[in-house]
Amino acid sequence: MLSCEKVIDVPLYEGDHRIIVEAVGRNFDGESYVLLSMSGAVYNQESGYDPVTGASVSVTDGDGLVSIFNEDPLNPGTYLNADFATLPNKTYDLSIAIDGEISLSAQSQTMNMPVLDSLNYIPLVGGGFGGGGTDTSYLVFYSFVDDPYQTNFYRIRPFVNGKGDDNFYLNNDRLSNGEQITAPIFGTDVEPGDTVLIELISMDEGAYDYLSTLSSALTSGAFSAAPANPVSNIEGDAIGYSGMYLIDTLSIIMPE
Amino acid sequence: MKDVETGEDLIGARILVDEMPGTGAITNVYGFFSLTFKEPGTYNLTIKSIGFETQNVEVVMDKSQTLDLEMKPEGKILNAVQVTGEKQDENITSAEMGVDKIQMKDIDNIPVLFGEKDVLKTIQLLPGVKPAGEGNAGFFVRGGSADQNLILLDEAPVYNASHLLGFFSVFNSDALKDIKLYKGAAPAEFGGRLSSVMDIKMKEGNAKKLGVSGGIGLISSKLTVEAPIVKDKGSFIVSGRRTYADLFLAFAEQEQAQNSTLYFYDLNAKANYRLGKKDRIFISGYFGRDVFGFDDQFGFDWGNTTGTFRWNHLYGDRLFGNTSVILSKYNYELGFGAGENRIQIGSEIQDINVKKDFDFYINSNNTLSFGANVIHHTFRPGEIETGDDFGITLNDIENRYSIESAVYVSNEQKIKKRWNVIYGIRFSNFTQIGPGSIFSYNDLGEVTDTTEYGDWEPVASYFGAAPRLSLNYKLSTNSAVKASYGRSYQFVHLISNTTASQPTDVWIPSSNNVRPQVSDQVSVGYFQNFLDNQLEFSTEVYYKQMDNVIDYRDGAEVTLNPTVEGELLYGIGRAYGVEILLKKRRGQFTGWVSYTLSKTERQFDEINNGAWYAARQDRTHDVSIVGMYNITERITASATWVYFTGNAVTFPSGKYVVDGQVVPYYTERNGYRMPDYHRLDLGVTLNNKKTKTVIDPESGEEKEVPKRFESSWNFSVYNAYARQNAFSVDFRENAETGQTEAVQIALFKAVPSITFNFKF
Repeated sequence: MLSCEKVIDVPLYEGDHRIIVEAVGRNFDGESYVLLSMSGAVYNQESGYDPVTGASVSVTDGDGLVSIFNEDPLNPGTYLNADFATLPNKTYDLSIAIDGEISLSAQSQTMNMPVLDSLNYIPLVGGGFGGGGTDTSYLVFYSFVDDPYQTNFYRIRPFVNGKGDDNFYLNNDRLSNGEQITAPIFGTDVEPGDTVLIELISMDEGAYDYLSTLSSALTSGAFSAAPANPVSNIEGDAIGYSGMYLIDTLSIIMPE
Repeated sequence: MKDVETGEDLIGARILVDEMPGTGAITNVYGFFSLTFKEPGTYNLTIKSIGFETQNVEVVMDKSQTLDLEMKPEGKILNAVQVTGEKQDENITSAEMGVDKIQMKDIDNIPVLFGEKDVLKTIQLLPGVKPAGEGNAGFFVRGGSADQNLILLDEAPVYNASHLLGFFSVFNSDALKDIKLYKGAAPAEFGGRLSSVMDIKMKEGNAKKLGVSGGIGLISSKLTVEAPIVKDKGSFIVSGRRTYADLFLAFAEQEQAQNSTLYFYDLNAKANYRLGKKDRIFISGYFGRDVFGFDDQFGFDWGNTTGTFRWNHLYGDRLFGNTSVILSKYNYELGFGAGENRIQIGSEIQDINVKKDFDFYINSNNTLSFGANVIHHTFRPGEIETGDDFGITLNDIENRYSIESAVYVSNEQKIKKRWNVIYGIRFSNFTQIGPGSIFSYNDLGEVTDTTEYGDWEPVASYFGAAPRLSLNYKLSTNSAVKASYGRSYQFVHLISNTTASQPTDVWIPSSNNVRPQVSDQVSVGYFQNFLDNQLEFSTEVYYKQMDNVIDYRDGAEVTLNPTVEGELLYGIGRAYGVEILLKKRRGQFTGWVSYTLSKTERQFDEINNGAWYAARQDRTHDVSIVGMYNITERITASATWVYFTGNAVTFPSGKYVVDGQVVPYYTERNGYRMPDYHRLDLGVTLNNKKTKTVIDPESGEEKEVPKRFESSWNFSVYNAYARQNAFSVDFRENAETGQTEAVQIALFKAVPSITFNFKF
């Protein structure tokens, strides 16, 4: 009598296939990567998306140091460098050449190292929607002090027992510059005995704008924001983003 | 002018003077009229009002006098012969165009969702008015957005006219007397919204005797009590309604569902009293609330409160004045958690309005209206309260204040015998005032400056002059041509970045950053009646241009954002269309067919690469067919069929992977259409016998006398052929095949309903 779902036939006009760039720099050796792939049709048959192989990928920092990213022979479309790690207060230029014809670039910068002060938790009994009446779960809070001298943008990434939370917890200092920021991780259920690792990621405005618009584009359903493509910081005929991150981490284990 | 049975004032009744053709008067919203006769003598007045028997009254005019008239409601029409020959040609003679008037009798017999008679649902069956979507009480008029409709209940604005996420409206039709929707150029006494004015008047209450009526239904019940305070001098009416979907939750298995609440209620109350021959006061109010709570983990409630105090005063024979003081408030509150771990977020908009209006019946050819009003707006966009254990400090979003004021003058003039013209102008001013920390933004939406303002200090001021003009030219006794032009300003805007309207949408005022919206509309129409005024035909063509319309940056964050003004983009819009209406108003079978062909589009430099794109509410074809048939004296059947082509919507044209997740890729804005929508509703009303047999004590014979207690049963089905109409369409990966598919969610299949109504 009430609501129901069904699959319907909606013909779509296929847009041009676009080059997708996902470039992530981290401040730990060898953890940075650049992924190049093509977009596909909405109703495509294959489950994967064509990787872009054989491209030249390099990152040059403000001092002129060039790091070449080589394609991983086991993962086509993934470009790695075993020695590259981001450093504070540097600019980075990403440069990509594909088939000698298409060239892409992006400029990013890093700020001071962020410092994650502490993690706390409070117990919730009967926790939230769908929880049983007497089960205990935990709401974890992170706390850090924003750097008052710079304009900062953050992503907080929780990992519960090693598994990443797909939600985007984004924060910036527009109205809290220099202040202590404390906030909860709402999205993942944390059970007694779980290990929670929190990454505090500092990034620049270009990467932040991309991730916050990406987060909106991923929210699906009747009550979502008006659909729009994320705001890319890549120059050239491609979409995606380049983010040079500085990361501080803390871990906490929930009581049994 | 009143209804003889209840003493209710009759609005819009016409008084014609047989000896002075082409002149006459129309009662105003308080049932008042004034006629000037040039020479003394005896005159025949013909008095007409839709739904009432036409009357002829002879008056001897030798001096000024007061005439109190009462009209008798029409009985039910059972066969074609009974249709009276009197001309009900109001649509031909009136200069009003782009106006839809709903009589309470039309609503009684239309089947609607869950058997509730709903004013807002009925309005959406008329041409030019489109529903916002399945399960949504908002509506769009001539291509405008949902916040461009000024909804007034006894002059108080109602900011959110829907209950339960839009399945019901806040208007309990048992308490209402008259509803008028202005789609085109509204009269100069109205202003503040671009697309329409919905003017709703509550009943005064039966001034002759006690009346109780009510209904008991599957989902909700209501009760109305009305009675005189002093017979024929004053009366009151109290009307309440409540749903009880949550009573069934008590039987749920899950303990948390048992502790959950889901209901809404409305309360309308009004009293009036005549202080003498020249004065009358009214107090009316509305209070309603929706409450949703899940166990004690989550609570959400919202609602409107309105209160109006009015004083009618007659200054001499021809000048009628009214003073109103009006309060209107809409707020919502969200709560998470409980006790010291809770967080509560509240938001509110509050208006205080003082108004003075005059109707001056200069002579039989001219009625002048003029007046002024001042509104003080308070906006509380977000107030946050947390329990002590919560541990985060979240700041309130600062309040905003403004003053909106207007003066207007307008004249309705009859020229020769064929022209009826309404012309007027409304001057309005909107000033944002302190106290507050006022932000300025650059083109990218970043805050560049913050300035402190003190109490009542002006921050920004906007001034607008809005002319209004309506012309009616009578081609013959049963046909007319009309044209109109009007300009409107809108100073408050609803921020909603979603496809469905939500109770958490926030109203913001114009400011140093947000300019008022402006629209200009022209329309032309042709009206003709057939078959002795039984059949009405009308067609109107309109073109509307809008400036400073608001949309949002891609991915804008509009919830609880203190700098939400930086997320807004400004552009232009245009809407045009043709509306056709064929209506059979009298007879055993009544109903109407309405068809609208229209287009509404927007253009913003930052959206869709600056190209024009269809507005979300653009629906090319819109058809409504409504029929009501009096089968016998006790049985009435009704059917409604609605069809419209789907909203403009943005669907992806590709997809890709980033951050391990599949992301849709969009090309143009609103380039696709939702699936077509159509639905059939059926209903039948069985009236229980109105009379009972008694033995006459004198003659010993049996006779029929009317029963004091009247009752009826209503059975209805919403969506009788159970079509799954799309509420939303999502693109998802099928968990088994990994393929992307388009998944449609539909809200309702067939929904039956039974209601028992009574009256005594």
